[in-house]
Amino acid sequence: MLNSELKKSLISIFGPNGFADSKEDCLTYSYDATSLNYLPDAIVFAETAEQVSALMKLADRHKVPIIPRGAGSGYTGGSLAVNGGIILVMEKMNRILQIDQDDMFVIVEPGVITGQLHAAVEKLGLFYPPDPASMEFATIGGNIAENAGGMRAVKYGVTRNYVMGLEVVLPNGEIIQTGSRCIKDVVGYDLTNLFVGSEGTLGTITRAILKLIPLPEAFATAAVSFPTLSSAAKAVPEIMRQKIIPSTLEFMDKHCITAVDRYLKVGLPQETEAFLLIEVDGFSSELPPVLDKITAMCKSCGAIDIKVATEVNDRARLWKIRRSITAALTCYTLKGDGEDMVVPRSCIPDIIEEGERIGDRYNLLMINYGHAGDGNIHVSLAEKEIPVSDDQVELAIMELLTAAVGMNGRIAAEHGIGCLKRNKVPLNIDPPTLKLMKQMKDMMDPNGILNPGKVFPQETNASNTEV
Amino acid sequence: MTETSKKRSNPSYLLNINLELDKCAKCGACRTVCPIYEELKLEKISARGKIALTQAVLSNNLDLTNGYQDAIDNCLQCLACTESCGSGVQLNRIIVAARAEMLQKKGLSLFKRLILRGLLPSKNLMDWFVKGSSLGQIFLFKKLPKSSGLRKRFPLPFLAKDQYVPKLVFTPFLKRVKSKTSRPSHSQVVFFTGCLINYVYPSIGESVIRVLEAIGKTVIFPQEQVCCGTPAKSQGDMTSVKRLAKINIEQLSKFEGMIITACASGGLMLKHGYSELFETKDPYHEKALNISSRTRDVSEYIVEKNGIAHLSKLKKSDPSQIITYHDPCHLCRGQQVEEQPRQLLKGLFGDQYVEMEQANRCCGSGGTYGLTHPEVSQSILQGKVEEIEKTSANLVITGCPGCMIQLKDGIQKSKTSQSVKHTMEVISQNLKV
Repeated sequence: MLNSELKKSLISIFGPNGFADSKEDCLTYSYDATSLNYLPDAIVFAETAEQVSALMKLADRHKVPIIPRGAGSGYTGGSLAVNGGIILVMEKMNRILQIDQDDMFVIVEPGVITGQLHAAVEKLGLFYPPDPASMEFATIGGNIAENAGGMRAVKYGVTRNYVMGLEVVLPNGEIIQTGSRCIKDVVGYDLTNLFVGSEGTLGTITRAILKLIPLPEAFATAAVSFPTLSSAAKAVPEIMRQKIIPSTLEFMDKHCITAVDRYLKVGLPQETEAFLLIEVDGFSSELPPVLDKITAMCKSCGAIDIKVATEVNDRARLWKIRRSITAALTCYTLKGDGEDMVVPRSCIPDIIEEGERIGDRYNLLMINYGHAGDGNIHVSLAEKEIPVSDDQVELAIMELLTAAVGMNGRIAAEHGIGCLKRNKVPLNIDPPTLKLMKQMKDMMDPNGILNPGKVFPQETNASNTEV
Repeated sequence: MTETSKKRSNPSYLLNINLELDKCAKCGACRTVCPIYEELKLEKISARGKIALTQAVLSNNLDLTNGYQDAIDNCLQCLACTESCGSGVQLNRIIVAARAEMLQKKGLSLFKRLILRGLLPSKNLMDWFVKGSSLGQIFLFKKLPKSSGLRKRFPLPFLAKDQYVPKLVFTPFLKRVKSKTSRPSHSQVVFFTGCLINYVYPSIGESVIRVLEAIGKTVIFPQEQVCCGTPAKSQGDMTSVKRLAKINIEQLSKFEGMIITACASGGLMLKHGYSELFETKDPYHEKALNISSRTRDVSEYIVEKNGIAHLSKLKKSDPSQIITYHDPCHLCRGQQVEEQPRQLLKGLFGDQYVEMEQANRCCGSGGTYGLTHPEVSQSILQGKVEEIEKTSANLVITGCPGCMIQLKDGIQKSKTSQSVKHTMEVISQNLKV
């Protein structure tokens, strides 16, 4: 509960419609796409950077946590009030302010839905490539704060590669501008890249300049079934060795295939044990020979079924196989929140095999799917027949992540750390590096009011217990 | 302890949808597709928020508060969230259960009780009530030129200054048409009219008959059919829904042949709503499934029977007409009927058919939603009218009389001049005499 003086000040900043603290409102800003729940004390809805600035000054004085939030579609609890406090909803700042066709950039407010940004620039023949699976409902502000990835990362990179500049409200309430609309810019430290992926712990993004590129003229999609994991694994580097970088190279293992086939009844060949969804883009005249090379390469690696599509609707049908995974996997008794690790892409077969071995030891099914092109694998753990305790599941996950780290991998690729994975950060980051990060955080947010309880390993117990 | 035993003694509607609630992964995909969320940007209005609140009620973290009621009342039942959900959560079922739970707790107001439990189940009372109201309208409203709508003569509560009010008919559709005797044959079809066609837009019903006869069908109308139950269902009054369902199931079961609807919500109710009401061992369940398997939306039926070939006798459409089509929620998402009306209309109008953006986005009608939440409803409607404007169509076509009332209201208020017609009215008008 907030004290009445603070509540009054918040209403004077945000207006009566920009403030909420009813039980119903607090309950509905207590979750995200994880299974965690933490009740905030209140919610405010920002419409300007100045409001956010006034809020930060007020919160700093009252030592109340502020938790910036976009659509609340995150997978690691980044927008949850783990220490209580005030949820700062950025969704009402949702204007696309400028699309510059000559200099190819777009200026947006953080609440713009990423998919709507895509549609707006694509109408003009421009392209904002990052396409996280949640793009139809996640906000661009959240994408920047989490440095979201997506399917096209293999060719086009991740959100970070498209952020040219930011307007950020610091924890002390100051409004700063980083970067510019210039492609070349070496003036001062690169603060833009400090904020991208900082998970709302260093500042609140209130505006962003994003780089655009020309929209490819044509796309073509191939769905390829392989009889073994190793044959699919062989195909991936073979394609790359042809100097072809597909815009998407998605992968599903046999457990995923079984679930999706049951869910969608796509009729993949019975003996399919691995599945690749490959997309290429470019000028329409370029695509047929590229597709030919890819299909030939897949066949030589042992592919048993290849479906190719160039029309929008046919492509959508193939994409549906990939997009249905999350829903289809509900047929398993899933344990944990799903992993998001990444290894150098040549290590994918090794990490999957290692996962199988760990799974066998713990009597868990390791379900793998993800982005074969960039090495990012999403692993869902499921019970086989007998129940497995949460502690055992946690041990299995630790073994899996340790194995990934041993292959020069990272424990998180595109979902962030949030509160969910904070204690696993030391697996990747050594003490002096982590200490520097913590010093930077403490310098910028001495009172620890901005999104506390995230990114850094837990020191003491969180004060807000899960509900 | 007493609390638990109390809960067990009452049939708890919410407990029955626990599995549906559990399916929700809280991913948030339902938020951007919700027309109300788009307006209000409040999580408790989103499907995910309503589910979270309902879960809080079930886990005793929240009482059946007014705030909870406000959240679950703020839904158009447009099914957009259900369609977008990767986990297949049917929010429509959750909303109905939650409203039923609230109604069980708070009871039904006298006004609603009179309408839902007194008027709707009684064909004769309903006929006389509409007759009376139709006369009453003469004193309260003056007729608008050019449309079948009315305008207020003097200020009335609950009605905006320029509110479109549909004219109620003095003689219902079912009293106007001559009921043919049922001669079971493969060409016989049974027409379920629904209230709005019977009492407000009988010309839709007349058009349906004309078009179906043109493709060689004999149309019969069970005279004792009553309201499909959608208004009662949207209030959570499951007692009334069951009562109305049983009457209609009995009436429709008397006749053989496919059952034709021209009202999106009525069709949805017959196809999917009735069978859910009864447990599998209840004889009505079997009958409801039979009704469901025989029900088709009229455009769906015509396309299925290759009626387009029959209708090729159509006269050429007026070349000055530009048309566009609005998908009723309960037709496109409720019944997956999207292509059929377009096929029919494109067959008739060719290039004069212009697709509007977001044609399947709700118009904001939602039954009585426009009356209970006028601001949001009007704002959603305005978006729809803007999309219509962009097509430069002068004729807007849809497959639901409820949407027609809403669209006429929006067009009247924005002072644009499109006419609004049902798909069947347009086809009927273009039939060669």
